[in-house]
Amino acid sequence: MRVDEAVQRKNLGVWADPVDSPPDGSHRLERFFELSTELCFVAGFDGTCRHINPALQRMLGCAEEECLSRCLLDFVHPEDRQASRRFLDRTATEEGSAVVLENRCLTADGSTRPISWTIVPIAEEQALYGMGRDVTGRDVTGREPSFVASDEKLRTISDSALDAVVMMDQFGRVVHWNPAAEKMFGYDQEEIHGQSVHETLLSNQELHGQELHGQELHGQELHSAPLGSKTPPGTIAKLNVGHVIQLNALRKDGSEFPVEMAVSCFQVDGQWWATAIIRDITDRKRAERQLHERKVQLLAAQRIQRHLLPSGDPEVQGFDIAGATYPAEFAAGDHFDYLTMPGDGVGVVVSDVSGHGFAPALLVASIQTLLQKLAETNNDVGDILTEANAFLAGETEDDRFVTAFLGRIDPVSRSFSYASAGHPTGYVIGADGEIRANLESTAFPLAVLPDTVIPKATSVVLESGDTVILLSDGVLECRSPEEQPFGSRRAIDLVRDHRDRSAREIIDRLYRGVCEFVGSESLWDDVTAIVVKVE
Amino acid sequence: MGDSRLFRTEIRGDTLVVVALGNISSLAGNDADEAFDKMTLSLEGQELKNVVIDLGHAEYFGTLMIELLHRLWRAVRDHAGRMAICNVSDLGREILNVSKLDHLWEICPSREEALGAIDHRPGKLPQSR
Repeated sequence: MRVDEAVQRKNLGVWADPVDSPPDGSHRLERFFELSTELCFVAGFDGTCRHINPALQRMLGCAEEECLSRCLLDFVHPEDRQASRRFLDRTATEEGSAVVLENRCLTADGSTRPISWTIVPIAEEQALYGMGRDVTGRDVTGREPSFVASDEKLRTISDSALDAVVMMDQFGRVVHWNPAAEKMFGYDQEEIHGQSVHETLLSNQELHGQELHGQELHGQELHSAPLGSKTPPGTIAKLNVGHVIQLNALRKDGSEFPVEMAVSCFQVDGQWWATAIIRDITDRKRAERQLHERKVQLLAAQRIQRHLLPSGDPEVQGFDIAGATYPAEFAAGDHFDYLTMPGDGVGVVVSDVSGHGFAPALLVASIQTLLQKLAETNNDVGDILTEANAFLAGETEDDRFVTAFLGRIDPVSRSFSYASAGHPTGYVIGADGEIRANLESTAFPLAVLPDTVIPKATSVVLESGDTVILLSDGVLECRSPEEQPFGSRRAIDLVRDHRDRSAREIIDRLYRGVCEFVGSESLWDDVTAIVVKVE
Repeated sequence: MGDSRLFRTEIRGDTLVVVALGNISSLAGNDADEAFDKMTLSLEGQELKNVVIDLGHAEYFGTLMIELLHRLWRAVRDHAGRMAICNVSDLGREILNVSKLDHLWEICPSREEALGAIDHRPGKLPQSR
């Protein structure tokens, strides 16, 4: 309990500690009550007058007997009665806490006077003990302060702001409410004026945060302790002055929404005010949630993708074969695989599912299983992709399609047959570095039309020193900081320059070349390649 | 009607004209999906069946563009309509040729020719090859 509170409670005859009670005390206490120039009263929780001292009687212009059993709110200006009633109702529940209420009282001469009341509820007596002081000169109406009302520039700035600009008096009552606030919360200016920001807009929630710097505010600390300490309701003390905080706000229709709020306070002519700038961050929070969900999905997709990749490169007499996928941050649709085919044939597959995320990764799993199964009993790469297409067209979501390149190496004849459904062109680079064959697509992608036939292309007879390169579009389409595409020409040149290296080294060089070109190892799309060197 | 900083749409009879304005490779993930959804939703509940996509101002042509075209084509097909693409860059033509999608979609040199290629009879699906 603060010292000033303790003094006030003693003045009102409320002793904090029975040990301090005067030995015969009541008549002395009566003297204080009678002689005090402060306006003193004792009333029930419902505001019914029990005692008023002479000072208050003089101001109201009625003797105590006349006031008994009347509600003290009858002497309050009509415009302030409702707010005062709400205040007293709340106060009745705050045992032992001194609260401050300011309102206009009707006097004997017909005028009104602004009074600042300090009120203490005593539960055992069901009574409110109050002491008031005339604060003429101070605006207690909760109206917009004149320095705002009269300043065209201030008003224009506030009216044009996209964020809610809410000004409060020292009790946290709204005195200024800009159009953005109307739109955000649903209250118009008339209905929100005088309402408590903390109770009306913030649903009385405890604002958890760091300690703030204390500021004295007419004897009431604006904030000086960790939140959660008891401060009188209706003040701006609970509003985390000086910090930007996130919390849930309450609209007029009762719905909650997340906001970011910054509160500052200032003093004008001895009176404290506070301004809150409030921003609706619903969209931001939604985007954060979506990004988080997407990241979770993509991590799952990348785990699936890794699991589907071959555990090693096949060993085929007379050939050096290597493949790799370097997943991008937000992808996981690329895939490569090696297939065991009849007649000792080795199948090589590179595929790319459109889109990003979990669904494409699942489709990759389907494709892998499908092609492995079909290749077990079929040597015709065109037939395999045609059957795969028929199946996928019925299984994929409407918007997905798959580019796929399926090649078959015959180790004995060294022939390379292939079929390609919309996949980027592969190349056969000869020992002299010249392109011996372009392995162009033979049909459009899988899962576009269910009855698409993917024909097999003319086989290529591979020669010693040949290098077959199969790429995904992630290699060709990656872009430099200057927005130049990597392109097939760069890919071919890079492979050509390193064609004397092993297949694995060529792939490593290709990946490093892509990263250097992009200027980062963080790629927008998966990078996938298979290299087949003919010894 | 689904307009954004990357696309503008116009209506010509029962044909929706989609004009690509910028670099859609800058879209990522959900941004791309939202942009694409707006395009396809433009066909919902409207007296529109056909789509012409004008790529004259598109700075980018790659996989993401193919995805958009595919999605629009699916939506058009569901409405028994037709789709044509016009003002395709050399790179775009190359990509459409490599992927054989130029066998599936009408590629025209200008918007007027694309609109002319869209007839008003019920859409006839292209034959697979």
